Amino acid sequence: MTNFLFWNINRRPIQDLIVSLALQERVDVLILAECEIEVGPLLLALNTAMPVQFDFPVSQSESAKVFTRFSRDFLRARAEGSRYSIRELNLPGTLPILMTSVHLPSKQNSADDSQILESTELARAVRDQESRTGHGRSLIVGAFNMNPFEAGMVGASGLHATMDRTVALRGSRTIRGRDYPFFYNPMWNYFGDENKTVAGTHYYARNEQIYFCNMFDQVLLRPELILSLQNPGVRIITAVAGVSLLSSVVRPDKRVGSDHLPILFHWIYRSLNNELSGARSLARRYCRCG
Amino acid sequence: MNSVAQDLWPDDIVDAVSTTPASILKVQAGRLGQKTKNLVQGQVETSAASGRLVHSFKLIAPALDNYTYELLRISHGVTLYPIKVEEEPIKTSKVRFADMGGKKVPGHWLQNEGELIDWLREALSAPQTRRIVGSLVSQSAA
Repeated sequence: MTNFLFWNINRRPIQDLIVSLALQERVDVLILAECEIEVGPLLLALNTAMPVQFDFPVSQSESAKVFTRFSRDFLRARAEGSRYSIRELNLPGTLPILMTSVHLPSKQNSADDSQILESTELARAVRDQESRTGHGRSLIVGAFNMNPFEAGMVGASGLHATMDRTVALRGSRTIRGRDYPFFYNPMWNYFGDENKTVAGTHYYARNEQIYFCNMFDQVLLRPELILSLQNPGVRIITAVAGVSLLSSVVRPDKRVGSDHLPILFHWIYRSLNNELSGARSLARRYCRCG
Repeated sequence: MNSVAQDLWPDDIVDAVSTTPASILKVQAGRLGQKTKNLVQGQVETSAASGRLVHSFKLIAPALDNYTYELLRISHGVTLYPIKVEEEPIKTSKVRFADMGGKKVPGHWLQNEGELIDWLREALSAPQTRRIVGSLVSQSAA
């Protein structure tokens, strides 16, 4: 099993908290957005505290800093831009996957149509790499700065991410003769406050049109990877080593951590045969609804 | 002459714009390969999104398994100008606004070919561009 953790740390100097979190959750791939902590000191701190050694694979992108306890050779960058990095995670004995980390423009700096265009270009870059590598075992994780219901996230020419895994398992849909592959977005399951501590990963109340709680930090999975996501899928982390990341009014507390909460997900290795037969069986079970 | 058969088109219908933004980018993309002995090459990809044409300028390192870095991206409507800069290697902390017929529009906009060329010169010489091209050349030659 591989544990992925993403956290937009809002340029905060919270090195000790990051190390404690990596230790607490046995993180294998650590992705930090808005991270101004120098790589050297953070690597040193991680490798002093952890029983395993972290590495920092080469990257030209400043979208996020990615650390991994695997050799850097197993997580090579294939295509990047200032807002995204598409890497191939190729662990021995497993099927390679494409892991894209993103930090898309914030709503404060860009209009809605710019965010949609950004999603469209990101989706195109991911599809291009899927085509080059010849497989669709692909996930995107990071700060999208859009909610799961916004046009850039759900639009066919954008990320085309659906809340329903049975829809995603159809693979793609055809619109005016062109195929658009689906992503599954498990973050829809975490909206609202019933039976949960928090209603989103980020709180913002200054725009005209506001939702207060936002799910800007997300992970999207291609159908080929849905079965590899271990239940409960994704966890929004609210405490590290007994320290709450929330304020007294249950909002992300940037005086302690960041204005975003970390998200964690577990990946289970599967063989190709397991992957395909599992996906087909699930598709047969659910996809009679057309 | 029968009025129906008259040529109603103005004589200068095709003279208004001589060079498209895409062709300006492609010239610079072609020159990068010459400067780096093809260790790093430029490529311009054009697509359509949200009713606009989008041109993406990418750096490609053939020796690094065709590693690709998207250096800059612009978009425009059917009229070519103004151009919106969607992605650039020039760092700025302030949000830019353009005056579009008296209306303030967020974003970095280029109003004509001269502004495009000035901006492109600055972007291709930016420290970020030099760092990335230099790094890709070094890794490719290693």
